[in-house]
Amino acid sequence: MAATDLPMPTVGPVSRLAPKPMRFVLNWGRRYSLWVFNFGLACCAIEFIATSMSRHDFIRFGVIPFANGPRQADLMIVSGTVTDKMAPAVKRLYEQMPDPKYVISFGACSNSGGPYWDSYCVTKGVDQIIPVDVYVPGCPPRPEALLHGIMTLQEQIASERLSDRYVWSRSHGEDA
Amino acid sequence: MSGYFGSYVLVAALLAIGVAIVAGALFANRLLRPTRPTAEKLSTYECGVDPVGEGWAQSQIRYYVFTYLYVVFAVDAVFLFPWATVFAAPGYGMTTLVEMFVFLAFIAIGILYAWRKKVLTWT
Amino acid sequence: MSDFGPGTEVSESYGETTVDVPADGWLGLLTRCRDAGYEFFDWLTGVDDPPGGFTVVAHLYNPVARRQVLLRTRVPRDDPRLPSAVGVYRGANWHERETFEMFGVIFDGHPNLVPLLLPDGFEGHPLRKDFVLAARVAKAWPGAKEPGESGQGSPSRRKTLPPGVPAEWGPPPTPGEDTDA
Repeated sequence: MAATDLPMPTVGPVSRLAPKPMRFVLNWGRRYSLWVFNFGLACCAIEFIATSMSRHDFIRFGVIPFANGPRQADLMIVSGTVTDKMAPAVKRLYEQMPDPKYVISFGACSNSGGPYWDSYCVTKGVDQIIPVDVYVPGCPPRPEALLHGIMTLQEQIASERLSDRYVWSRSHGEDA
Repeated sequence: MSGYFGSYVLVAALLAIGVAIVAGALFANRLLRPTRPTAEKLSTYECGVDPVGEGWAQSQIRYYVFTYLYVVFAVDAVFLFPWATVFAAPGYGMTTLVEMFVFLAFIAIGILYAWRKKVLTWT
Repeated sequence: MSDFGPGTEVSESYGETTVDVPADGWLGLLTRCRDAGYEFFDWLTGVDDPPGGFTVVAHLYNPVARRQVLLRTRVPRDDPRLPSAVGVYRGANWHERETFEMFGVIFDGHPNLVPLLLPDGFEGHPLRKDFVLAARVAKAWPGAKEPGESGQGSPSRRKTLPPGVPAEWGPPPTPGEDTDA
């Protein structure tokens, strides 16, 4: 089916018309119940796993590690070098996640290619294929850096309005 | 609720409330969620690559042990629990007791088979 | 073993044995080593040695005597063919596929000589010395901070090309722009 045959993205009516207190509650629920589809590709995956373990636990932020698959996840943390061979798989798995979804790019390799930026086979940053919300720099970043990144994402979600994210007209002028 | 159909109406009401809770949750979800249909989203999940082969896989027959043990213990328990509440009531005499023991004898033969097959011990 | 057969040159350095053999003696050497106890096939790869050709290197290990040996042969650059070692060691299968895609060395008799690691549609053989790293031209080094390292100086200064890039390689100048600014 051609891309133009699909309906435009919408947001449910209650979400779109919600007054600020209700939006606060909905955002609160969404940001403290992220289930991570951790895309561990390289060394940064080890740091991600370290962050999920008991010392730097990120479960206390509400982020549950190791979703069963993209269909049950709402946060994708791309940690590690994205090679050109893996890039289509990353894109497809991102597409298979249901909305609303968020992406954290963890580590230098997924931010911009990292130390392998001049390789013949590395995607220079995962934001070339999927939209990223938070970039966590480092090679590899400390687990505390990932916790800071998650907190930054949670602050972003707290102040967001879903229709700005998904409905073009809302954030680009025309009042829906 | 009383009368001949009293308890059935109770079960039906409970079923309806259960369905209403689930339907209400899904409806609330529809009111709240963003929808962004893409063609990729509908594709079958196969770790990011194109799926190969069929979705059907064959189980191995050696897992019959789990089914067998389930039948022996769980179905047995399902019959035992209601019987245990009524067998001492007046009107249920020795026949009820002996019948249940006949049933338990069949179950015991099943457990003996499992025992001899060494599936009841830790490996 | 002390004698690796006719046509071989044995050298020792730092306790490691290296055996050089011309390309037509490659399979014979591998077979002799396997029969002499070097049963573990560790790896096989290539080295780009300009201007002569490629050196194909294999590393074998003898688990009983706990000794290792490095076997080398040379193939010319314009016709890089070598008989496949799959008949001698089954484990050479994927190593030869990788050497084929990275250097372009063709292994005759290999059952499935297709690229292994590179993405579909990749053109070229990346580990050759004359393979241009396009990323260094297309994008400045992301970690540069000092002026001049990533073109943050005045635009009139001529940019030096990164190492490994030929002089005429690069994005075409936009029309109307003075290339000799």
